[in-house]
Amino acid sequence: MTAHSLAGLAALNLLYLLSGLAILWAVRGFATLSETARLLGLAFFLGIATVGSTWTLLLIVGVPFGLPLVLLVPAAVVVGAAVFAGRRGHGVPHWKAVTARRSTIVAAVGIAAAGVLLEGLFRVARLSGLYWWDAWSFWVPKAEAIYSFGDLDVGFFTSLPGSSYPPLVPVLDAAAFHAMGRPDVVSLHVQYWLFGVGFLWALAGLLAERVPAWILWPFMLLVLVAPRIGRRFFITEADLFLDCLFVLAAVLVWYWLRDRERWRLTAGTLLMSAMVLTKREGMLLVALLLVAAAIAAARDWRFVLPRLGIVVAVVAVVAAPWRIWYVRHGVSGEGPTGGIFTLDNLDRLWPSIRLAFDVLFSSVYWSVTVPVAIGALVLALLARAFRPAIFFGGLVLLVTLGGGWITWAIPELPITQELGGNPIVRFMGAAALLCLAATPLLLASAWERATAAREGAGG
Amino acid sequence: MSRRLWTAVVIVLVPLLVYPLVTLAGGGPRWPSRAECVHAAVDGQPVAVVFGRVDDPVAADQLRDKVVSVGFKEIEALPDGCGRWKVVLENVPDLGVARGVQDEARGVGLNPTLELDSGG
Repeated sequence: MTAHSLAGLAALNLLYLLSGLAILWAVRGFATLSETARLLGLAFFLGIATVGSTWTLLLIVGVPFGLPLVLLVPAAVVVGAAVFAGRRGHGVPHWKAVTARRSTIVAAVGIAAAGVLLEGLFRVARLSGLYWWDAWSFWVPKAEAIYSFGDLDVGFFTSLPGSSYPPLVPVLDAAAFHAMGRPDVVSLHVQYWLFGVGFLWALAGLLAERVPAWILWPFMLLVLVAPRIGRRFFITEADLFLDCLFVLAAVLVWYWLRDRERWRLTAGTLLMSAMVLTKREGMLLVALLLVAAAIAAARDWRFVLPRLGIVVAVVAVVAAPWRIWYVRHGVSGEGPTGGIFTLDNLDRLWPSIRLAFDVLFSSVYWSVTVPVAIGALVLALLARAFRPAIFFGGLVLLVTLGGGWITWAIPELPITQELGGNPIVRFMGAAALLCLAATPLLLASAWERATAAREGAGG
Repeated sequence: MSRRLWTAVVIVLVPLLVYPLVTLAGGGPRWPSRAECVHAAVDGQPVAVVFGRVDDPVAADQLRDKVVSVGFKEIEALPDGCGRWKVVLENVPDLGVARGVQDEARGVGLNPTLELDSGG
C-alpha cells in the first residue's frame, strides 16, 4: 500500500508541476529547455499556490472536495494557461546546447551535495510518524475531516485548536490523501519533503540568474543543514511551507523592482495569495513584504505604488472568503485581543522586541545564517549596492519587529522561546530563511560592483 | 556535449545513484513482527502477566473487565507496540510471584502467559 501511496503522490505533484509550468509559459514564456529546467522548482511552487488556492476558495464557498475536484482544477489551470500562452504567441521552448564553464562544475558539485542530503532526508520522511504537536492536534485532523466529509465541517473545524487558521495546508493534505487513496499520514511526510525539494530548486533556479555558482551553492546547502529549516523539510505543519512561499515571493518582488518584468510580480502575487490562505501570519508577512518593496523603490514610486496597490487588492480578494467563513461561524479572529494598534502593555514592548532579536540571532535554530547575512549586508553597503541592502535588510528588520509586535500585542503570550507558549520561533523562520536567500544576492551585488569598479579603475 | 559538461553530469549523477544503492544494499526498512513484541520472562527481572492479546481496544476492554470481574486487581488494557492490544498485570516483582498469579488465574478458567515486563 505504501508504494501505492508514493505513486499517488508522484502523480499529484506532477499535476502541480504541469499547472505551474503552464502558468509560467502563459505569463513569461520559455526560450530554451535549459531555462525551463532552471525554473521547474518555481513552476512547481506556482502550481501548488494556484491549484491549492483555487481548491481552498472553492471549498470555502461550498463546492464538495473530492477526487473529481482534485483532478479538475489542475486540468482547468493547464488548459486555461495554455490557451492564454497561445494567444500571447508564446512558442514551445527549443533545445540549445549548454556551454559548460568552470562554474558549471561548481554548480554540479552543489547539486550533487544537495541531492544526497535530500535523499537522506527522504529516508526520514518516508517512514516518519505524526510526532509534532500542531501536526497531530489540528493540521492533519483538519485534512482528514476534509478528506472524509468533503467540506469544512463546522462543528469539527470550530472546535479544534487554531480554528481561525486558513485551510490551504489541510486542503493540500486532503488532496494528497485522495491521490494516495487513503489518509496515509505516514506517507504524507513525503509530500512535505517534495515541498522542500521544490523550494530549493525554485530558490536556486531564481538566484542562479544573478548569483555565481561559487556564491550560490554554499547557501543552498546551508538551507538544508540549518536545524530549524532544511532538517524540517518533512514535518507536516504549515510554518515552513509559509516561509518558502514568503521567500520566493520576496525574491520575485525584488527582481521585479530591479528589472520591472511583469511576470515576476504576477508570480509573486500568486505566491502571496497562497500565503494569506496558509496561516494567519501570512497576512502580516505579505504586508511587510509590500512595505519593504515600497520603501526600497521610493524613488520610482509612480511606477511601483500603483502596481503594489493592485497586488494588495488581489490578495485581499483571495483572503476575504475565509475571514467571512470563520466570522460567520463565530470563531474568534486573527488579530491581537487588544486590537492591532494598542498602547496597552507598554512594559512588554522592549522584552518582546528583544525576544524576537534573540530568536533571530540564535545559532541553535538557524546555525550561522544570520551573522553571515549581516556580513553580506555590510559588504553590499560598502560596495554601494544600496537598493538590495535596503530591501532585504529592511525586510528582515520588519519581520523581526513584526515578531516582536505579535508577542507585545497578545498579552496572553508569555515572553519565552518555548514553542508551546509563544509562536515567535516559528514566525522568525521566515526572517532566517529570507537571510539565506538574500545573502547570495547581496554578495553577488557587492561582487558585481567591486568587479565593475576594479575594471573601471584599470581601464 | 563538451568534456566539461560530461564531467558535470557525472559529478551530479554518481553520488545521487551510489548513495541509495549503498543504502538499499543493506536491505529495505523493516517493521518488527508481532512475535518480536513478546519477550520471555527472565528470573530476577520484573514480569508482566499477560491475560491475552486482541486486535482492538474494545475487545481489550472486554477482556480486562472479565479478568477484573473474577477478582484480579490493577489489570490494564494497553497497546503492545506491534499493532495489537494486551490485557496485562504489569510490574510483578519476580517470576515466583508471577507463577502464583498464573496458577490462580488458571483456577478460574483464564490462561495467562508470563513475559518480560517492558517497563511501561
